[in-house]
Amino acid sequence: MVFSLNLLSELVDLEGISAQALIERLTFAGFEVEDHRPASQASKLISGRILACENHPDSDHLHVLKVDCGPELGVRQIVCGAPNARADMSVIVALPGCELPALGKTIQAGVIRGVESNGMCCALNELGVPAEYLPPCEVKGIHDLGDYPAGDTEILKHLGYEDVLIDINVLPNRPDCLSYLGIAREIAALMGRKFLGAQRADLSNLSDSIRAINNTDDCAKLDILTADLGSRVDRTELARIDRYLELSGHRPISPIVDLGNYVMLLTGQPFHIYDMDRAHTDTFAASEGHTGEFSALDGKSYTIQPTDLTIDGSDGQPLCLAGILGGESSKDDASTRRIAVEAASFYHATIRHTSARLGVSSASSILFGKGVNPRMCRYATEVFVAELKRLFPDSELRSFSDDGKGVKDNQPFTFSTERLNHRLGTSYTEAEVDAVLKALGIARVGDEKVVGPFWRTDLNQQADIDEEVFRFYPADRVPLTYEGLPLTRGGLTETQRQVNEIRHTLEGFGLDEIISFTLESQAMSESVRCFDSAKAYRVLNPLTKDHEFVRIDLVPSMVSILERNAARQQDDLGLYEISATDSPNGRRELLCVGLLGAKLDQDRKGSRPWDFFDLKGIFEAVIRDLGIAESRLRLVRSTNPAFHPGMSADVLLGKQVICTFGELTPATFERPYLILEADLSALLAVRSGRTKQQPFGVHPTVRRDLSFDILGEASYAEIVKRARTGSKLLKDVELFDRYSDKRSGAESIGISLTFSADDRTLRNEEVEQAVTAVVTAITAKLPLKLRTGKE
Amino acid sequence: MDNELKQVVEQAQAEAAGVSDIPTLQALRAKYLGKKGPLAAFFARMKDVPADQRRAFGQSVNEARSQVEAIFQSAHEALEAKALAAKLERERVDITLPGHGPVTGTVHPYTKVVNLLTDFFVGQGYVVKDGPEVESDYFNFECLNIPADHPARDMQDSFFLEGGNLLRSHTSPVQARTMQDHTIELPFKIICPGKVYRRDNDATHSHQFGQIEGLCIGEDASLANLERTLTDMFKYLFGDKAEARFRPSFFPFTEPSIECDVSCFECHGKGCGLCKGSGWIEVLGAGMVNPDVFRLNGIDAEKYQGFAFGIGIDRMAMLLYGIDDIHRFYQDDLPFLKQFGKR
Repeated sequence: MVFSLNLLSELVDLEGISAQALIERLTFAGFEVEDHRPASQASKLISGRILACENHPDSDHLHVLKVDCGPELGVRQIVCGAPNARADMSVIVALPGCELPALGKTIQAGVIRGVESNGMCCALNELGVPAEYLPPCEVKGIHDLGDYPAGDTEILKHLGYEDVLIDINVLPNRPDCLSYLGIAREIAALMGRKFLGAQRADLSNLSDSIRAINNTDDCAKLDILTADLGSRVDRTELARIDRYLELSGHRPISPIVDLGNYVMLLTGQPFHIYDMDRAHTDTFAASEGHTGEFSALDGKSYTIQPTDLTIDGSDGQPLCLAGILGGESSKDDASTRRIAVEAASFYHATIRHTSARLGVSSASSILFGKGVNPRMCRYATEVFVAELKRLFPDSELRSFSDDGKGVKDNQPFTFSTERLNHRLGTSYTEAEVDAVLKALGIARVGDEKVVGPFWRTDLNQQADIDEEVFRFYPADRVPLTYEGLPLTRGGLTETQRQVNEIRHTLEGFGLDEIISFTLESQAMSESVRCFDSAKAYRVLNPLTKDHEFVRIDLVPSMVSILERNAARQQDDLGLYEISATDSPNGRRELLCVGLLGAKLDQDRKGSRPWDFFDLKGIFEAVIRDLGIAESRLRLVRSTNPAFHPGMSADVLLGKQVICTFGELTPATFERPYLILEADLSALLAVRSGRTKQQPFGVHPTVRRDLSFDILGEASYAEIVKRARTGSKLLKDVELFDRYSDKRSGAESIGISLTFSADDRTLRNEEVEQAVTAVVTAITAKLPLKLRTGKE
Repeated sequence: MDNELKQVVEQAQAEAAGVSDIPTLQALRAKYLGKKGPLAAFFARMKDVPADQRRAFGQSVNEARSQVEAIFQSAHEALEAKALAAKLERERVDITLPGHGPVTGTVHPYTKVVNLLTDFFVGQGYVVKDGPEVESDYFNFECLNIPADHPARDMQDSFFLEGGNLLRSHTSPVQARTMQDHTIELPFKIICPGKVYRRDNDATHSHQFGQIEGLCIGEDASLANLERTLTDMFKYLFGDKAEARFRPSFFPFTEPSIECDVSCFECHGKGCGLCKGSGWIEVLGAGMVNPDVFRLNGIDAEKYQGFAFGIGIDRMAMLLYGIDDIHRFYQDDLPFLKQFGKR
């Protein structure tokens, strides 16, 4: 909220306190000042009186003015384009040399279309007053000073625009400070200054002929005041009020509306003002339960429903959409003479919900939405009446009626300084705490309890006072210490460490980590699923259709990231993501790897396309990291329709698929995306024993390389399996060549066999016997033929 | 006789100097020092030398022989050195060619920050907790002192899901879940890194971003402990010169609440573009757990007290690595990702 320092200093003694000191104090007491700036900025101004105004001979809109600038400067000729310039009008003149930061220029004497001009007549926005809150006539033309005498060089000060505006971020627990009086009270407490407050009028002894009736629990208080305005308006007072409205961000409308807004700024209490000549009622009833159309004063019609609050007239029809907008039928304007003033407290959420549903927001609805203290309604009406008397000197009060509803006072609660110091780790003395309580108007009740003042609604437990003391004193009163901090055993769990290991392994493969969006489009959500076919959660209020579903699978986002990068000429893409997903079936941590393009060779002399076996190698490395024996897993061809049937595999643990990898099907995907997705949650749940050292052979091993022609269907896995049945001396089988002749289609395979015995060095004959046995084992069951060296 | 010996030595010197390979040199050496060589011939003449001169004669021949041996030795060494130099020259490689082996992958800046902070907090006795991103209204709001009609709910515009849940708008629900988990003994310290979602997408906001929630509960855990912890965290992240500043603030789940600023590590407090001239950078929010939150989660508010903090992962990464746009995090452009090594 933006505050004028001039108006604040009418409410609290700020004598001798700089704006900077005030800002500093507020900021470190929980009221962050987000911005501060002068209300106007200009040098070398003087008031002048237009003696003559003639049309410029060479222009259809410029005027040539003769302006009396007082005895010292005399009469000057000024060329002016303002449509409202006329003779016998006082204006603000910027003299040559005047700097106007709002326009980014310095005024200079010169010749405009052949006519000499010695200055400029100014509008308020040209002097730095924000244009958005000035009436349109003020922005279109120059500021009309009426009969103001010429020659005043401190014109801005005398007009009240020599002011500083501070924008304070008032936090949600302090709705009382969304008002000048509230902030003034706070400043008085923080700076140790006197709170001057606003004038209030006495409301006792007034008739209650026009009655306030409260028919709903959502209204904590309803007060109705009626008055006759009389015919006179104090123009000086109106100018003062309007200036403060402009500077605080409200546009002046009419004297009575401006008054309501001004007192709302002062007290934080929104008022609704009814024109009694139009309202035709002698009761105002806070109600709920209406349905139908409501014609509001903004000229629009709103459909109301039973939960909306209304203020009804004696005919039972709504006069006002409570807390939000008045009705067309009782709208007040410049012609209004008899008024009813409503000051109420409505339940914040009800106002917020109605306001949000109807898409209509006003200064009142915003304040009500943040919570208006029902204890302040009468207080605010008293301030209203005092200001009413100043603005409308002939006004007369007619009635005042209170809804008779009791408003609960603040309740005392237990507080101890010892407890405070224990919680904050501080050593505030009893006297220091008492000083804070006194400054903020918090009273002691007996030895152990305190109670907050009526204008505060946020003081209800010890912690609330802890906060008040903490923010009152400098931050360094809290020592920086570990004393009292509980000692606990920290560390990562086994699973968390394993995930880190996997990350390191993937980085070793040259993969770059990505993190993509959880929310995706319906098309993405339905495109690829590896482990969970549940219906994805749908967002009811998505920002766009592209972010409407909560992803269950990482593959669609991986594909979109690969695609995005490929479209940007990236041709070596090896990416991975580890993220958890949420589905109606629960939360699951997934690993997704995506490869596209060519990978750099090991010796970095060139590159070769990423292929299926890169994915397989990555999976095998992950399994090794997790200490899961490959024998516990089963590899089968994948039947996932999103994958290439000949170039994809599922890995099963028992009956559960825990990983799928391969190329995505070219039937759907334009690029040959190589994708691996693993169910990390399932893999991490596999129990694997701690490493135990095993005995290893000390006797020499013997290697033999064999080549076979493949004459039919035989997988490498089958060959290895058969080989192992041939001899117990066979310790290891490795692939050293796999060849397909592209022309003839002939295929061959080369395997390397390692033989050894744990207890002795093998003799030659033993090795030869073993080799023969292995070859027999293979060729007996598989369509393989041993190649001899001579062929 | 001495002249003859001298002549042999000089001749050996001259011949050895003309040899350019080791086998020829060895043959030449054998010629001079062998049984049929000129020096052997001198020894053969020994028996003809008068007895009184034999000693001197022997000495002269031996001396000449030593000289010849030394000549060949040094010639040999010279040839070896030359051969080695040639070999080394032959084997010279272009040391500017690229190294072998895979170029290791990179870590996403989000993960880098999580790892960095996890290391710090694990060292302080914290454990890492995870929680669901699809949350119930109860854990996301109610248990955290944000009841249905609380104005603070307006501060967090959330994504609501069919079926009544929502995407969590902060990592604080993990606090509530941990407090309500009776298998976890008090006192405890936890951090909960994770993704959060708010209905906000503009130049400075992404609808998805990361947070690290921290919570410490004990019988004596105080605001002073919190401020010390955060001060040390800033020094850990930004260097020993970093200073922390604490300002009172408001959050529904903590009281008192604080806003924490770190001294600007670019200008060290002088004022620059990064800190918008103030010398301080707003980094995170924290506070003492509101006793109402303890009551809502079944913790004895009379016996226990504690603190909580929330760190923006993206915000921290932007500060640490000078990232200029929050939207870069989830676009995953390779030229962006490649900038973040393991350190």
